[in-house]
Amino acid sequence: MPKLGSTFASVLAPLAGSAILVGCALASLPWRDGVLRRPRTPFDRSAARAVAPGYALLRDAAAVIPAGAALVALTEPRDPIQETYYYRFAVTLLPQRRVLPAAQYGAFVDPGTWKDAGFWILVGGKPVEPPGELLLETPEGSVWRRAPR
Amino acid sequence: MSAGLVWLATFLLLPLAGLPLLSHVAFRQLPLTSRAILAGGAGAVLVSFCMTAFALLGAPWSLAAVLLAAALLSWILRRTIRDAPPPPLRRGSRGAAVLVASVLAAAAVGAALLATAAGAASSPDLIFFWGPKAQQYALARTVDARFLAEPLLRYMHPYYPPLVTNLDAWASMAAGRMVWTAATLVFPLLLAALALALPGVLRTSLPKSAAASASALVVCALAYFGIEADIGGNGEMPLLFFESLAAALLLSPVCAGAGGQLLAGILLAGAACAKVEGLPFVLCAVILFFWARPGARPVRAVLLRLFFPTVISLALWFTFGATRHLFRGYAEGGRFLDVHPEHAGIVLRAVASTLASTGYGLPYLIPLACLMLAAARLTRRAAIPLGAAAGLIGFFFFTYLHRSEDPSLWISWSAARVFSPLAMLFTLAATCARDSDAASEQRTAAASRH
Repeated sequence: MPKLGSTFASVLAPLAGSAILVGCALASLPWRDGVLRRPRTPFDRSAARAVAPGYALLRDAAAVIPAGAALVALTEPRDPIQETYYYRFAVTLLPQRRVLPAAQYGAFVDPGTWKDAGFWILVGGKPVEPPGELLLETPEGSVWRRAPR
Repeated sequence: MSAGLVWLATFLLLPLAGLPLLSHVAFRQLPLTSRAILAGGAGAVLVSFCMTAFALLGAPWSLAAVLLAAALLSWILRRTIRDAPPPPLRRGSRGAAVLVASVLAAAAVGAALLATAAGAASSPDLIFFWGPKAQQYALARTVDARFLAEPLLRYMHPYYPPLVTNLDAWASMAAGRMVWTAATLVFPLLLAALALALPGVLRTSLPKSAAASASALVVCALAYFGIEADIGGNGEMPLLFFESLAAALLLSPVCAGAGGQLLAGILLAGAACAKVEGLPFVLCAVILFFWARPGARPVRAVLLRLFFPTVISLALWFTFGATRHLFRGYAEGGRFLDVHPEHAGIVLRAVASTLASTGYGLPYLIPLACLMLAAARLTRRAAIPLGAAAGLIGFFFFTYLHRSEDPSLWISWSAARVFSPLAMLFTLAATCARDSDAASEQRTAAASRH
């Protein structure tokens, strides 16, 4: 027959601890934000929610940029840190395309390496001067086909 | 069926690969649910092993060929086990504690599922490197060496061990594409698998109520930590799944026989092939197994069963890296042994503040408190989880001290995740108290006699 002390340590204490942890886990869910509502992206309510708009735009861009095409992801206004991330998103979300970096590790790269990309993805506001033919416009940004040079 | 469902359902094939091994009578003590999930865990390791072997040999992957090869390997491994059937476990009553523990574990899995489905627990590492590598491998039907060699993609850590990306690629091949939301749901899926398997493994050495309570605490701690630290889709949950089941097996009477040792060795290989930090865990756990269980003899045969699966799996991966001129080992975070002790204070403060800000530190502190309650009655077996915890803590501090620049930022986004096995290890150590240990030793002796 186990002693009361050992029953407390081996059964009651873990159960009490589990109850506290489950309570905290349930309380941490985004109830007010409609936890059962389907999110637009897997990151909408995570700590990494800042990546959600870029994720949504690049995912949607897959429908208008054909396989094999060369593309670049830029921000409006230009930001080398953001463009580093958008390059990485584009590699992930636009497979089988040639993704050219406009920035790497938080620094711009030579524009000559990406200027001739056939497709430009602009995250942010629409530019005053259209860089080509508008293929897609979403709240997060726009996708353009550049005229061949 | 949607692509996401197919992607996730592919993992249901993994138990088929582990079934030849787990259907051996040596595992008769384990309940059917635990055996099915352990078969899935072993199957996952064997499938990933075969995928790496195919890649090394230049053979393209196909779902059926990989599954068949893994099942064949499982059958060959089964032939090495000569264990007699162990004595059956006495059936314990369900009791209120078991019911409460089951409800709490189910609620924890439900919370993890809700959080992940709501986009509140996804890891950005999924889209930065785990996912794109898996996607490319699925397209190439192999570990794509050209992709890994691309200088612009060095941020994807080409040398990271292959299990998570291999299995994600396998599911992507079945679904026809990488399904990002489904990949995040691996977190609640594996947590549910752990919640179903762990009580049965612990039950071999503990009364039913204690096994269910300890298992519930592990699952609840990992659920809360996982939601807070956003681990949906990264390598954390696979690592925790393999580490938890391997550690529980190493403590159980099942590991008195060759079958249990081989299974533990395969799950340890799963941990080592899931993430880099799985390897120090394996080293500590295997070394301490011999100290904590002096009856494990002959040493060479036991060592072979426990450690060879890890050695051969990593050797295969590093051979692939070397032959493709990609990598020759683990190398990142600074030059080896070029430590910066002047950062010790910064590292300590940053780790403490990161753990404290992850669910108020509760996922680590509550299991630690349970361990403290049992501290006076701990026995030699507790050395396995406690030594592994100490080894991991030492490894992480050693790694953090290798950065020449201030490591605070690095620690702030990694410490909560890499220290998460401590919650599970503290809980399992607390189960190695004198009352339960006496029962366990009796069962171990009975299993050895058989």
